[in-house]
Amino acid sequence: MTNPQVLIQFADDTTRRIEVAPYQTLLQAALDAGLQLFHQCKTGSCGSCVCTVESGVVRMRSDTSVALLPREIEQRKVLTCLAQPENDAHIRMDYGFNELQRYRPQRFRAWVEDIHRLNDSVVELTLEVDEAERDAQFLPGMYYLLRVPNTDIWRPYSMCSTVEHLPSMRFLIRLLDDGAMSTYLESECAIDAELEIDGPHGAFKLQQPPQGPVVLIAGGTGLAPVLSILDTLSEMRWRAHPIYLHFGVNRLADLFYLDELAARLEWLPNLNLRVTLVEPHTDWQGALGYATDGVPDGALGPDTEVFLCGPPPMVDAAVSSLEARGISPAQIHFESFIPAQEGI
Amino acid sequence: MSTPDPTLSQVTHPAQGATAAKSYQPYVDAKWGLKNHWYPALFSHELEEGAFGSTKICGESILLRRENDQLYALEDRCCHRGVKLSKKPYCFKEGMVTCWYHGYTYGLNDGELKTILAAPDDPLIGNASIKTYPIVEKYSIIWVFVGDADHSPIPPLESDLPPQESKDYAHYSPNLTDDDAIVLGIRRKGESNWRLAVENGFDPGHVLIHWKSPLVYAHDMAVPLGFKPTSDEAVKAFEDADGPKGMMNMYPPDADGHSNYEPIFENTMLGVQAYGGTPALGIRTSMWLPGVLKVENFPFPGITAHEMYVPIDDKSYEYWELLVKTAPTEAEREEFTDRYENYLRDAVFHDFNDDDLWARDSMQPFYENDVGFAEEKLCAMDAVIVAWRKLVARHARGIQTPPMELGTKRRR
Repeated sequence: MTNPQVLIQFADDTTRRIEVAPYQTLLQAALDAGLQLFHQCKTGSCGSCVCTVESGVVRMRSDTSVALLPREIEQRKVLTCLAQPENDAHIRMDYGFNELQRYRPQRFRAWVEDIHRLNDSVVELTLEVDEAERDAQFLPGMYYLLRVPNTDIWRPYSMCSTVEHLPSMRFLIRLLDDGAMSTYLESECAIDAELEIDGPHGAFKLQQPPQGPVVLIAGGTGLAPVLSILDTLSEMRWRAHPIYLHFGVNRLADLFYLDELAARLEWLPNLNLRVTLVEPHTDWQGALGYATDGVPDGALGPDTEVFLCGPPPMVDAAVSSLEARGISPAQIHFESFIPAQEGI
Repeated sequence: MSTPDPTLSQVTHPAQGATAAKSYQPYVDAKWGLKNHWYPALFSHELEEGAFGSTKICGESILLRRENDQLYALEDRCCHRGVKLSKKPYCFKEGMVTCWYHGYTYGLNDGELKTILAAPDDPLIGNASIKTYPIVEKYSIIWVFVGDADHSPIPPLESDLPPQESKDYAHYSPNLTDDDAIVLGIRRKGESNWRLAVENGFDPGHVLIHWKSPLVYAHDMAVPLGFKPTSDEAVKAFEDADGPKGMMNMYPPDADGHSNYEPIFENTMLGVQAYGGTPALGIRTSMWLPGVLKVENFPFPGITAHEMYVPIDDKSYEYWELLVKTAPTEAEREEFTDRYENYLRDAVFHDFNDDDLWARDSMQPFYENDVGFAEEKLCAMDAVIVAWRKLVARHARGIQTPPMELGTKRRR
């Protein structure tokens, strides 16, 4: 005899099919299958795991009272935490599948809290999101799309802030000649201006506490997602292994945020920082070369996690050099800046 | 592991963020206290056999219980409807506590829901629990470890207390942890953030508020107007990996007579002079994470004053004031107790420390929304305060976040 198959239909018409083993509840089978259905008490008391049976016979364990009204039972509502299907069934949830995703992208409004020019080519933009309406969650390293006001042009920017700073979100934006966002930021943008944003997006992210040394390599404004990762590790008081942050720019005039980086050296005993310029300058006594240079052997082991963000040549060079040194592709997370394309 | 890169400060390039980065930002974030540290909960004598007690530390309400000589600390919030168990705790069976409201009953040991008085078969039983806290009783005080449920290993209490000084030290003053120490004191609530209390505790410039204290008058104590650091050895930092983390004001001259602080006795512009003729020998102050002050040889040589500033919430702290003396015999203990009860308690804790209490409360409005941390104008005498902030930013085992009942409000 085969186990009952249950088709779960969400409010957004997404469907998932699961198999329920004998003596398993519907909820347990869904959770075992990696489907995080809403639930709380798992004992029939709270009512949060309710669904509607569209077809099939689904019984609820009868040895406990349930948080359902008689009329709800007549409407074929059951609690998935007590439910056991007798045969194949079709159930409906009154919420969308996308609501199960904690980091599902959403579109909402934000206001300019601060705008600050860091140097000739970098702007620090701080937005305040409307947190009353939305829960703007994200994982460090992810990005949002920002809409250039009064246009249909959306541009991706990584946050350098963390969720602890919400409802504020801070971005580091490189100014491009005649770029749509650059033109807006340099001409119209002012405090309290309204922007539309969409996110979070991106696969470049820190998902869980690293199991070994962390190598962060950033070129230019690629520092933003890397800083969000670094600060998240700081907020977790993650001290288990060393962190190596390599930040590189081309010219002295391209540098920014040295004060921010110096401050982190004070409060992160496990941080090793290397700042590099490509072009020498009489006012620079620090290292010359590329951000990808000088990663010590001790930083690279089987448990190392590498996060790379910067222009494509930097990322490509770093990936090949790290792989040549025995780091597997699975250990390397990277994000290349892509030159802006119109109308993303 | 790494020291700040000198090349960073050589560059005078302005490209700085809109908000000046604080070298101790995590300290500014620590409004609700430091987590994963030991804190005093009650004096031992405040929790008798068979009694329940309660406290609130870093925003967490905690129920305390002494039963059959065992101590227990649990989250003081029933998981059912969130009421405080300590309002009227029932004990129907050894090893358990029952909520006064609907009878949810928890194991003292593990916080697990063992039964519900009127619903003994409810499926929630065994499927819910409240948090428990590591607890120890030492040095006449009951201590709890406030932090993450999965923090491991739990460090020893002594890693959060001042270390013992070598007994060979010329100005040896007893430590709370000494075997033959007698510890006497009080605790009370202060209406400021815990950080303001800590900073006031060892602030070398704050002696002005004690200028007219009866204790100073009665003993003709030589109290300068303030202390000015004169060398980079004025503040000693303790950062050993496994030891207590702290910093010390090196007020007494070195063994070779070299001084690191210059006492200020006069301000000629104002025509104000310090007074008092009896020099205070061996006074030295140190502060230890998560907020434990040691004042050696105060109010008199051979006595140590300890203070602890335990965050209650973001706007108040529990102020612990202790006097510690080495008293190996019963007669010495009785003598010190008599002197404490009839003189020192009032003279030190009330006449003298009351001035500190209102000074801290007075700082609260400026710092309440962290504005003070951005707008304060510190001067040379405050170097030690900045050192303390950096030490906390680097070595705190965790930064407490606001309690969940305050919702999604972020800490900044």
